[in-house]
Amino acid sequence: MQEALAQLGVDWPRFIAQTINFAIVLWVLNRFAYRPVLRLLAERRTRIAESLQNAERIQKELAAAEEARREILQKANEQAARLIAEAEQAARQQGERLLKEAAAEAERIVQKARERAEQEQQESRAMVRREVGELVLALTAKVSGKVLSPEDQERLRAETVAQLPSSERFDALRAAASERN
Amino acid sequence: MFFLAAAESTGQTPIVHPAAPILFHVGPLPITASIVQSWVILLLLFLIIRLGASRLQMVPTGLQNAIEAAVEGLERLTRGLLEPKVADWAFPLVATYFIFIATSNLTGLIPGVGTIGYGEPNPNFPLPFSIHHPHISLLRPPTSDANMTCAMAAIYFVISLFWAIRYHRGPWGLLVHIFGVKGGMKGWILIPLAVLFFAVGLMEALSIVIRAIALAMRLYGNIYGGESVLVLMTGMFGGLAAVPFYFFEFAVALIQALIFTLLAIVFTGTLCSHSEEPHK
Repeated sequence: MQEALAQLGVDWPRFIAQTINFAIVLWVLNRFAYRPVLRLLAERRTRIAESLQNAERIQKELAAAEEARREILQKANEQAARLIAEAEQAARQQGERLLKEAAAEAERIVQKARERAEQEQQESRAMVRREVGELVLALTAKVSGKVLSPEDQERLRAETVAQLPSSERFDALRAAASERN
Repeated sequence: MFFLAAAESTGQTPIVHPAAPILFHVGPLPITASIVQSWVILLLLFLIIRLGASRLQMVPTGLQNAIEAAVEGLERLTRGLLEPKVADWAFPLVATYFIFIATSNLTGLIPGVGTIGYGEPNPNFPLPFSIHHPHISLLRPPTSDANMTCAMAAIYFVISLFWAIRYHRGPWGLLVHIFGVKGGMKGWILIPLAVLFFAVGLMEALSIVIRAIALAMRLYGNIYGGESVLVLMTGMFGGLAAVPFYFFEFAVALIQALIFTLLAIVFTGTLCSHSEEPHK
């Protein structure tokens, strides 16, 4: 055995020298390579795990935010649609109301104008009667050449008025006159 | 090995001497070509580490990538075969085995390593300082020196025994692991089984010793043989004959590093495991 080892050049001094050499290599690699690199790898694994967790959390939050946004948007759309519908209905009602009011106002104005015209017509008629009565009195006094007593004047006025056409008759005559024109 | 055997049988000096040649002495310590090259390898590894791993960045670039890949790959290999706590103990050593052996083997393929040295002058060759074969080469891969392979195996033997004792909570635990009756048997059957398992334990103990020797000799034999072939072939056809062997030795360099590392891990696994413990 010893002879075989000697043939291979194995002896204690060289063996110890190589053992020390390898031990130095082991120490150098362990001190300057394995420890720092393994520490870095562990730290990187931790960071990657944290990053993945954060990414997952952010993704969940993003999904939740998206869901919330969609809900808010949907609610807003629904609310807007409801408001638009309400506004349309209110506008329609307002329009109808205003239309009715306008129609009523117009009717009222027309009615008022009609009443006023009627009143003016009657006043005109009364004035015409009065003037005709006065004219008849003056004409009668002139024709008879005497001064008429108050009783005669009153009687003559009443007869004249009685002979004048009534309001309905007057209206009918006026209508016929306007048709002829 | 064939060339060596042929040389020995005819009484001629082997092409590459089995023992690494002594270059000089530092006091009582002989400095061989393989010791010098192991210093060169140490310096090379130190430079690579300082360049690539002195300022480690969270986002790796350049050489840091390679160093991280190597360390992480070896760590995964170790953790894949060993229990976590045993892997923590064993990783620095087995990773150093792979890196050192692979580097050593590969540096042996650098032109000049093993071929530059002292030898019989060759006056027929046109270039100056030509020799037939370097009997004393200035550089020699440490793994082609039996001292280095034996040193690595001895370190493994001692440290693996220490791990085994630590793992089994003391020497008694290790003895029980090696010689104890496995299988959870009870009763009278234990008596013949104890004899049987004692015999098996003796073989196991012997194999633990032989494993270390096998580790050393396998690596040394392969690399020394490769070195001899390369030196021999370099002298033929102007060195062209060595070209195919360089490719072959490149593969052998990495394969032998991996085999040594894997066997060291597997042997550690057999020593530091509870799979064959007696059932309690």
